[in-house]
Amino acid sequence: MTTMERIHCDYAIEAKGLCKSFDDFQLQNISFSLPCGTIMGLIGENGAGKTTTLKLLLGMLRREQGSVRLLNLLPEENEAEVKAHTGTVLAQGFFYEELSPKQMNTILRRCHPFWDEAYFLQLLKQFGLPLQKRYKDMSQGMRAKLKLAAAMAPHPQLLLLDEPTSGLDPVARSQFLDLLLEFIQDETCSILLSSHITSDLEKVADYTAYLHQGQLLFCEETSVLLEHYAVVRCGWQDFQQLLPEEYVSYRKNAFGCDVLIRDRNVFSARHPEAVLDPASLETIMTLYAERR
Amino acid sequence: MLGLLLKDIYNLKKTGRTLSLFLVLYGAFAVLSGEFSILSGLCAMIAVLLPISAFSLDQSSQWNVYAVTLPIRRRLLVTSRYVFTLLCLGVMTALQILVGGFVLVQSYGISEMSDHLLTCLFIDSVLLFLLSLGCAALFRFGPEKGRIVMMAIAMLPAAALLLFTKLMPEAMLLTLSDAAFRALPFLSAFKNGQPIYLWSAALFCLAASLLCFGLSCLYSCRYMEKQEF
Repeated sequence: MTTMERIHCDYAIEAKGLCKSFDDFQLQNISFSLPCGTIMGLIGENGAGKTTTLKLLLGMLRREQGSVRLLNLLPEENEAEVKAHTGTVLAQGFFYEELSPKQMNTILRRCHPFWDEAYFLQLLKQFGLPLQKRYKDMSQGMRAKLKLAAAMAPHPQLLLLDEPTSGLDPVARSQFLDLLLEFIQDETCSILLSSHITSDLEKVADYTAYLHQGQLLFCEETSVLLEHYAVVRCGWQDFQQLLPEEYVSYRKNAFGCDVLIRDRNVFSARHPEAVLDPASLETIMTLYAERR
Repeated sequence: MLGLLLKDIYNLKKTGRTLSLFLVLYGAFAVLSGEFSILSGLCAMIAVLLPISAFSLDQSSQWNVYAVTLPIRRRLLVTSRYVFTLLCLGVMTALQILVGGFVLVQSYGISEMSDHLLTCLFIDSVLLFLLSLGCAALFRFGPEKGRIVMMAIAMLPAAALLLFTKLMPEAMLLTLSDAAFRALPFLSAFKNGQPIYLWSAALFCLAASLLCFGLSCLYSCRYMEKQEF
């Protein structure tokens, strides 16, 4: 293992105006920054552009417009250095079915300049992964853990994780989240985590970015989102008296209407009689998606 | 590079074990019967088959998608596969030379070794040329389509030559061959089997095939650099 020096920077990711077009999908003008020492959750429905965004950051797809800086470096000019300091877990593509973690270790320690064999073996032990078990014989949860162990073994400064917890049971997910929180104790480390499991993100993400149909609808501090956003449950007639600028979106149901509002304090001041429920990330996401 | 080569070797260990069994069987048959053409054919087949299998395994596990997230240059991913291909060809050629040589020395004496080496050189040149086209096709089209393209490339010239000789009247073929010998006098040397000419031609073919292999590697590197995952 080569000695690794930490890259000091304010932002682990700086993405500006990323655009990418496919035949049936367009990612439009995605801009966000991830401060070092924080976790950002990337949420969005299937096909919203989360994986495409991650692939654009990694240079796996060529962007049509925009710029990317990872750890204050331009990936196109410092590809090897950026990737040496970045750990990635993608939903698709990993190791060969016939190989075991032991063989993976033998291969990857020769492929990665900062591969820490002892740490990899320690992670395998911590995750309860047998060294000799072939990848094809592993459960979905074991595979997810192995992918994470391989991503973390070189002590990266930036983790890009695409749906890493899918397939994990609640106990394993909780362990996994603890590991992420431990990872960012080193303030030079950061994580971009794409996930459908919004309750996980509420626990660990400092920032939440929401992608919808290829557009970034918001990128805000998770605590601010959870503190300020609220859901008003009211009748249809009460809803019709609201001004459009007072709410983000609404959903009609059998009993009336669920209305998503952006600032509970402002709304309460205008409508002291209204009953406001806290809005979870899932509620915010689903109601935002239905915005008209 | 070593890690990437190890990956292919680990992956093909199982296939290699099965193929080794065949090699041992046909090797024993060659030594006992003095007939090693089946073994030569098998060696040539394995030299082509192993790299193709490596491509198929890459695709089924989507290795390249993972590999481009690692600090490995895309160029190295391609080069390592070409080196692995050369390694397979090298090992199979060595086996062919050793077993064939042993059989020939046992049956006819050391004098036949020169012809045997010459034959191996020609076979290697043809295989290397075929693998040059094949590897480029496999990188470009993937193992499914690439395999078909590779077979088409290998079969088409042979089929065209066969068709040509079948359709042409024999008299015209003889006239053509006479004209060729008159125009290119050194061809008579091959016809008469003069060793210096044959060795020069074999080495020239090998050099040309190596050049094709290098160019194929360059093409695949360029393709890989531009590929999106």
